[in-house]
Amino acid sequence: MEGYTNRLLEFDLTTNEVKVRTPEEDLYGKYLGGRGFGARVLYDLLPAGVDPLSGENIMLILAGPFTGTLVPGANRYVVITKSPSSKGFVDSYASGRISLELKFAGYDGLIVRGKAAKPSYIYIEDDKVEIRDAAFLWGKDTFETEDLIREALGDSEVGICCIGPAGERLVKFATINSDYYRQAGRGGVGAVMGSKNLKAVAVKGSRGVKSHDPIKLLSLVHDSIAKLSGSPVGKARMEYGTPLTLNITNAAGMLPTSNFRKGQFEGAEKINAEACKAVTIKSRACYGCSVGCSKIMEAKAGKYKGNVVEGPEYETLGLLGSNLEIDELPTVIQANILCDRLGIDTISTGGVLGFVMECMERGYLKPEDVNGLQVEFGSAEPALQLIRDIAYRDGAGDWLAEGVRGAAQKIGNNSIDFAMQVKGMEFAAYDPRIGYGTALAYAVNPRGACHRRAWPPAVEVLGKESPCETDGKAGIVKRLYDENSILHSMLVCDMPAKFIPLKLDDFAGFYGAVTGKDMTVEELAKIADRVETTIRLFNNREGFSRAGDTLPPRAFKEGLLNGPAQGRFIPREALDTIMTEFYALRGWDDQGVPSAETLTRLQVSRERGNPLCDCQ
Amino acid sequence: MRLSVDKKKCTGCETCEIVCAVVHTGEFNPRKANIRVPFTHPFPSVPAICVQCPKPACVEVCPENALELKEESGIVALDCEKCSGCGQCVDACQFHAIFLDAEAHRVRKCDVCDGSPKCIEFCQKGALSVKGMKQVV
Repeated sequence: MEGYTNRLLEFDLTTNEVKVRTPEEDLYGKYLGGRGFGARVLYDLLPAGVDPLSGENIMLILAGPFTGTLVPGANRYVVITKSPSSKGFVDSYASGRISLELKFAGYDGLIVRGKAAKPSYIYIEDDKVEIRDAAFLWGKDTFETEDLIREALGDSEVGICCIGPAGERLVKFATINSDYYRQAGRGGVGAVMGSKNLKAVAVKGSRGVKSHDPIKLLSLVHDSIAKLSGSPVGKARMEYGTPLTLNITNAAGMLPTSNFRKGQFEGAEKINAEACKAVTIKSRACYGCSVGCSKIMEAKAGKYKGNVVEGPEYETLGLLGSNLEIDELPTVIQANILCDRLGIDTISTGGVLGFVMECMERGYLKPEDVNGLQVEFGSAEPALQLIRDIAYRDGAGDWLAEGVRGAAQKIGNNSIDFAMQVKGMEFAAYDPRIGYGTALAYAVNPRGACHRRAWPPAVEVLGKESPCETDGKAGIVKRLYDENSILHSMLVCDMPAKFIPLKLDDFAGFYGAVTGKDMTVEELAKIADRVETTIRLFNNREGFSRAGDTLPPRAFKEGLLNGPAQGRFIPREALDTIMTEFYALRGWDDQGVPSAETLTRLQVSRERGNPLCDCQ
Repeated sequence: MRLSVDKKKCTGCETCEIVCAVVHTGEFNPRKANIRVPFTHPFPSVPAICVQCPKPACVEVCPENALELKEESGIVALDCEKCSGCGQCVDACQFHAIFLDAEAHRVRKCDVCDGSPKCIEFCQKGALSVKGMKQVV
């Protein structure tokens, strides 16, 4: 099939071996790429129970079938590994030139095993593949690292992904960064890279991507650009980017505020879409994307005046803004810059800071417990200092670097009740109490409390479905899940798909034009089931069961304190009901274990196989 | 006649560059494009496009006479058959708008596709236009 190179580079950093591998026939046909393909490969290659931060763990960095083409949102890579945060499956995505350079160099991705004896980086230029000394990069922040690599190679166009000081120190929510401002942010993938002594990967390719029918593909792309130009949602997102979401979630009462106690923020007007637009100096697009939702903003006042960042995106505004009751945009911009440079996830960092603030308010923590800092809601400087301390694991930063679940274990009392996480991953910027579907999407997500696998507020808050209704909710969540499962396996961004908007039919069309293989929407739905069931098997094998598919006690016991959904919480029995239904729709038993019939129907083996062979 | 970009409208998405490569080579390969968008941060770059100089330095230095200023259109045209890929024009161009294609032993530059370039049709932001088009009688 065109679109794929059918070649992966497999590194063993312990032995310094590099092999070119080719996927087993039909693995792409069965799993597409990205999330699906990576899930099967990791399931097959990784034994159960390995320490995620040991050399035994395996990290995949994958491009997709559309990467390098003009399919909307295709400039993307995914990192798939066993998460040090959840100790289960994690897939973490980012936009970045490294994705297309991998394809241009002739590879669908990298498989990284082992642990280098000393800090190293990987350099790939077409057939030239080297594991190089990274002594000159170790300790540097992500911006410095990218600068130094470009300088050392004498090439500003090289695609790079790298970790910062936080990844080197195995912070459980360390990121992998690319193109300075883009992060594979969630699940601690940066810590896995750091544990391998791998500071960066730099790739340059010259070959280009062949497609089955380039003229048809261009025609489909042209249609989608025309559709975007006529789309009201598209126009609004091109103008405001993701900060527009803050206006929506604040109005709906699901904007994280005061460590997820409230759903509306009094200071929202100072950090909302209009406030962000007022300090936006340029829109920036990913490679080949006509939306250009990224906004470059500048701090216009105060201590950080003149500082510039690509962002903040909605999630950052929610977690490092409203969740901390910080209503100064320059502070959020500065926090965003710090997290980017140090290589930590803005979402989890905001979750951790909000948790610390509530612990301090309750008297569970005193300043002397937190490096002498008075970390209170609304106070900027202590929060910014604590971001640095976490990234460097300095003092209290060391245990806060374990995330809210680890921190709650240390603090005790009832702090686990308001440690807002699922499977060890801190909440994204949507309060799941807004609706039963949203709660289910967080609880059942294999990587933890994430909004990217399904976003039920689209139908139960903004749409016609009742938020506090169990009937039909499991089916709605499954449909949304399946759509994103396909997008993430084709490895395209959700944004153009939602903003243009494009349906699965459209992506089936793109798939045919790129690969030459026609797919129906029904076939894609079956692939989604196969992908999700494979990931479920992975997590089952790591000891996950129904007990892990839940929410923190606050979501069950405490109603939202303000806004239109004031008083709303998630009854346990409601979540139980729709969870059982969701499992049944997937063909899993009531403990969330895929049945033998389901595995047969989906052609998914419980046995580990050999997904790759040596390339001829 | 030349292809022109509005810096204010351009978001640096490189769609024009990719379309250019596909139209001219059938492949999604920006290193085969006749216009190029350099990677810069935090602000994106606009495409580097030949401005079709009235006194082109590239024409002066070309040892193969592969480049020629066309009187009628004002376009600096490249004869690929004559071009050896020596790269002297690349060095001579102060606009950094001629690119070496080492694999094909030739250079690449924008020739405005006879006045109707595909890239314009794909620029959602409307940042690209053809300037200085002569009226065809």
